[in-house]
Amino acid sequence: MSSTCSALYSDRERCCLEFAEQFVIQSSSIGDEEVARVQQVLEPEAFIYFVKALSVMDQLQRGCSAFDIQPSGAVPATMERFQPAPGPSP
Amino acid sequence: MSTKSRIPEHLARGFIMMVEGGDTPAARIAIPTELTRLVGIPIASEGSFQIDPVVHECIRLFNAHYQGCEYCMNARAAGAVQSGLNESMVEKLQRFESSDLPEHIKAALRITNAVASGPATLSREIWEGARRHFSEEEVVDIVLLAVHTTGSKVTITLGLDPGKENSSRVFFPSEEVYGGSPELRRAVERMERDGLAVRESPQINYRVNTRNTRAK
Repeated sequence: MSSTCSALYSDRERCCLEFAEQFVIQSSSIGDEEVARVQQVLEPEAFIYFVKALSVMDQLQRGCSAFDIQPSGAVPATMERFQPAPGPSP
Repeated sequence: MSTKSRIPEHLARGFIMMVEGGDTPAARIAIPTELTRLVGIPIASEGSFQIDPVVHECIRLFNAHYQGCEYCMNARAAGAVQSGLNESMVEKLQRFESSDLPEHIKAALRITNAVASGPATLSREIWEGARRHFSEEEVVDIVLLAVHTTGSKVTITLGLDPGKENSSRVFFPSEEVYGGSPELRRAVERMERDGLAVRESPQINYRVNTRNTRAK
């Protein structure tokens, strides 16, 4: 992924993507400086949910990769109340 | 890594491993007790991982060290220590390939290491190597446990690792922190019928060789 230089991403998105990459590779190597950088573009509460979301996707992908399966394209029947997030404002 | 909170105290309140409750953002994303139970107690309750308690604990401890969770790496499950886990084995986990650990534990740790470092490296050879020691269902549970124990990445990244001061001991399955689901209660009763201590007992005299995250 060339998110670090693509003009398709905002500075905020690039910062979060860099953090995501580090989280996936080795989260224990994330230093206070990296956390401070991402906290400049995310509020403290958003940062908490961001980290949790990274973990959920990280675990899902690790499981899918280990079992060599593709996640379903459909929302599981057990998630009746699932609502897709609203798209970006026009 | 950090054992110093990286989020404001008022948002972090309630995020303590193995304790539920609270309505702060951190408490809402904490791993629920019922899920923690599956990982923290290596006993085969209905619906939980069906893996030998020593293998279970070796997987959990390997990942605890890999992810740098000080609390996790200094906790020992009572079921495992009563089934043969000892500190000499724990010392060898990070260099398991060149160690004299039993072959079935090495096979389980090859999967755990692959899941933690790069799941695409979980080759057919590694899988089939594990199948020589475990059933297909057990190998699936080993993968799932290896995946599940990477959940401590959240704790580490937010700087909410409770630290070795809050573990460094044997944890017994009747402790309140594991919740009180009926299937856990039945599993604990079964464990007790099998003659294992399910609560603190002077008969369980086990000393944890405490490690800190900087020893990595």
